[in-house]
Amino acid sequence: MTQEDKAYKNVMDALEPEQPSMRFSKNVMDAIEGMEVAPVSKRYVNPLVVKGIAAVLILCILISIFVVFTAAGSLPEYTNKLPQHFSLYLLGINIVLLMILAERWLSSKKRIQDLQDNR
Amino acid sequence: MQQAQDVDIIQSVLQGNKAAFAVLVERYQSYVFTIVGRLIPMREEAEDVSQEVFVKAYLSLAGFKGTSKFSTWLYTIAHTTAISHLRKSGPNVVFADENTMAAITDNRTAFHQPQHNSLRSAVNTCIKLLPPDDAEIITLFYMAEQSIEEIGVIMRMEPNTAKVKLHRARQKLKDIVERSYGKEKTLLYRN
Repeated sequence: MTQEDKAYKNVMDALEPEQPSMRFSKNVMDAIEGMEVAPVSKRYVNPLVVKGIAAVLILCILISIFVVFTAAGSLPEYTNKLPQHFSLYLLGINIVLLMILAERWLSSKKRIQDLQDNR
Repeated sequence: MQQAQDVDIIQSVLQGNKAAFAVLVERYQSYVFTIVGRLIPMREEAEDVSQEVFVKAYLSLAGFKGTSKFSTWLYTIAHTTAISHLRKSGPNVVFADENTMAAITDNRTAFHQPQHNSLRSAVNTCIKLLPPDDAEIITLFYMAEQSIEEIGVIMRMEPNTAKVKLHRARQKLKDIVERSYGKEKTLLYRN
């Protein structure tokens, strides 16, 4: 913690939150008088459905890649105009995107873990 | 320690002891009111929204998994409720832009009023002169004692973004204090 951070902390520690009106707590309790805690709602979408859709999409991508690499000779004319090793570049971009996705997933997992540790 | 107590109270409420919820309200009402007040300047309006926050928290209490502190969970509800309220209010709610705020602070009104004779109220007044999200992040970090990661969860941003935003908010607060105090700016570095 820098000197400035410490100075701010000292000043801010002296601050107190603002107080609502005296009746605030009673008003809240009155408001929830006729209410009951809502039961935990079930997930809107079954996780298996989400995983199923993801599996189909990944399968489609894999089939497309397989077709591109195996049927290179029978590809339409316009593909000849594409730069050399185009499919390799495309593959490279996809790998980079996958790595970014994996990094985001891992960092979000780490954040959740940190929050649990700080409880 | 506080978190363990909160969890016990929540368990009690979930088992049907509705009155135990009042303990949580008493414990967090001032923080929720202050956080909401940073986004909604009108006191009465902020109080209504704060009450709505506690009603929402009560209704969805069973959904609190305990993966974070109760305070973080509650302040997240406070943040989203206040933002939704502002969206509904639409153009009726207008915040001062930076130039207006600079003009206000240049006039040094904040510190020349008799009620602002203490450092505490002076800094509090300066926080209110910040843009709402900056005032909120300062409040969450220093008053509500939330970590950068927790602020990220509450304000729905990456921890690094929250860190940068806090740094900038602190810089703006410092500028306002300096503008208002002039030579007395060192007051911020005492204590």
